[in-house]
Amino acid sequence: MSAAVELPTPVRRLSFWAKARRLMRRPGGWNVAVGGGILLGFVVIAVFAGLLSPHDPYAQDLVNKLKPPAWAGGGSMSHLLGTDYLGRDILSRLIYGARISLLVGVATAIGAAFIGVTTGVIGGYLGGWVDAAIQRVVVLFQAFPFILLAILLVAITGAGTWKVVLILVLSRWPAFNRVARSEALSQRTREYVLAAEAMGSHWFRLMNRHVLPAVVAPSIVVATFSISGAILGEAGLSFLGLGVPIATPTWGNMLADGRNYMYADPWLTIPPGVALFLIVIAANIMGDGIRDLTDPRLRNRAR
Amino acid sequence: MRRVLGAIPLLLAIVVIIFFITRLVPGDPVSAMLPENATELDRQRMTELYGLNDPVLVQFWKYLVQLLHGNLGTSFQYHSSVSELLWRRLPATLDLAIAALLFGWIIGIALGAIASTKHNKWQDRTASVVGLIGISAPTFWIGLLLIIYVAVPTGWFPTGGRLPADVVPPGPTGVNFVDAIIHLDPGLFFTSLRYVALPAITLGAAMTGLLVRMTRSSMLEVLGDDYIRTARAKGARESTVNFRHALRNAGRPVATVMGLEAASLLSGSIVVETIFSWPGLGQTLVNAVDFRDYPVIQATVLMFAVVFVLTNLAVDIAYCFIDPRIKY
Repeated sequence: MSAAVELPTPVRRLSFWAKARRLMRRPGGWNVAVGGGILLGFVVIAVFAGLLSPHDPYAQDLVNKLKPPAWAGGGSMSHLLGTDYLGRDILSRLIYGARISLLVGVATAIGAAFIGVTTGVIGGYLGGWVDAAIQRVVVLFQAFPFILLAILLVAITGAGTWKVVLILVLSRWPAFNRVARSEALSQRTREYVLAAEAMGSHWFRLMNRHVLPAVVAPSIVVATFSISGAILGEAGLSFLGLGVPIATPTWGNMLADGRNYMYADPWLTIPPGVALFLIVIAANIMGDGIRDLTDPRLRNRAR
Repeated sequence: MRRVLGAIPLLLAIVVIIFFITRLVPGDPVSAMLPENATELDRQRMTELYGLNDPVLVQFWKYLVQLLHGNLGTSFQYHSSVSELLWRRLPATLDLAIAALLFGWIIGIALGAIASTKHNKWQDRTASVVGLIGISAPTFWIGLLLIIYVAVPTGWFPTGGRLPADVVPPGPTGVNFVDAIIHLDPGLFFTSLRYVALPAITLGAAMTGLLVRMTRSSMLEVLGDDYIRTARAKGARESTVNFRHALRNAGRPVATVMGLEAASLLSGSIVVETIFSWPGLGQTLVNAVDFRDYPVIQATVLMFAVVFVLTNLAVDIAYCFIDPRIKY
């Protein structure tokens, strides 16, 4: 074989950390680091849920039901956060719950971004009747109270994770459409786009090469807030018994169980609530940070 | 006027979607209503009685005609007029929504305005944290925590219903704390306030958070503008500059948020009414869904949708007053 090619790894790594340090000094840099770090933690927990959780999240143990956490009187180390009304291990359900929350959040953001950005860029770039038609639909979707539709649909056809995602996508894509469209509108009149157009570029290539990249930054901001919104939406629907099927370990379902025992055993409402709050606040902090980082007006203002 | 007319096709679309969603999905109201030992004849009579045998399009036409006459049908579950049922439940939801709006607006805008005038001081940081917590904490979790850690230990706040069983709601509006003001009855006023306080805080929390953030950021943007410098230069008092000049011009994005939040307030009320056993439209909807009570489901969702569309319309019209540069 040929001689191994020396990769300039030390230099590259240095430049990465230097870049990261420079980013941290800009407004929003810390927010992205803190929020992103917490989210990354949740992702790791969700991916390695099978390894991390001490028990099967579905396994019932009626003899040991409603156990308090390990540090309270009567608690044991085998159930660190105690057990619920069916004797299921709360810590394990909490860990598996991260999977559903992240799945719903990320799937919603991707689906909504795909529909919203595509329609937004096409509408904003092409203009004319295409744009007018798309905007009609956007207004309809924005004005429609989707959560009611969700309640109707899920209540009558039964609970299901993907139904929840579908409804959340339908309610969230207009936000992506708005930012993508306004960005496309402003890019369309830029000189470099006009120049490429004058050179005879096909409109599809123009959109892909010149307009779409400009749309990415604002869309990522919307996507982060969509993740947090979708996670809250899923939890709310599950809490009403209208989201993810009841036995599935999700934080919303755990809170619904906890509600039934809130006077006898208020502890049950704490772990899932804290987890939900933490993941949502992390996504929101990261969204704030990315918005500040990508805001050209704040770009050169050091902390 | 164009905006007002524009709302009509939207409402029509909502009627159509709601009708077909409730009909085209599986699930049979007749078997839900009849006892288990009902005969085939009973089933047929029941189906006939509610017109469920007709083709779907005929059912839709009949529904539409009735709707335009202001008749929302008969509840499968209560065997009484749906419009009467909803009129009875509406004041409870209004009661809750108004209290939540007042809470959210006052706290949210005040904190946001203070934060922007004290930029980067501790007041600003506190308000920013409050805003972040408000938009991040799940509504229903706040409700549960308030019940467990405020209502139960103090005993001051009831966790269900709107008034004690022995107090007769005085009317005429049905919104208890407004009625109390009309009747000049401080006892009733504070009682109803005690009942509505925790549900309203729960429902208003998300809006408060959002308003703090919106007010703060749009005030900050406005405070850097030339006319603010001009106002200061001509010797206007600091409070005049902040409130007459800055807050008013920062009002448009804030008003947008207030309108959009009316929507999440409605969906939020469904959850909050369930947690606090508040006898309003949200609870009615959840019950009706359990029972497949189509007329009630349709009517409740329609009512929510109409309120939602009208609120957004009102916000659009309010723009013109806040910002005279906008015309429709």
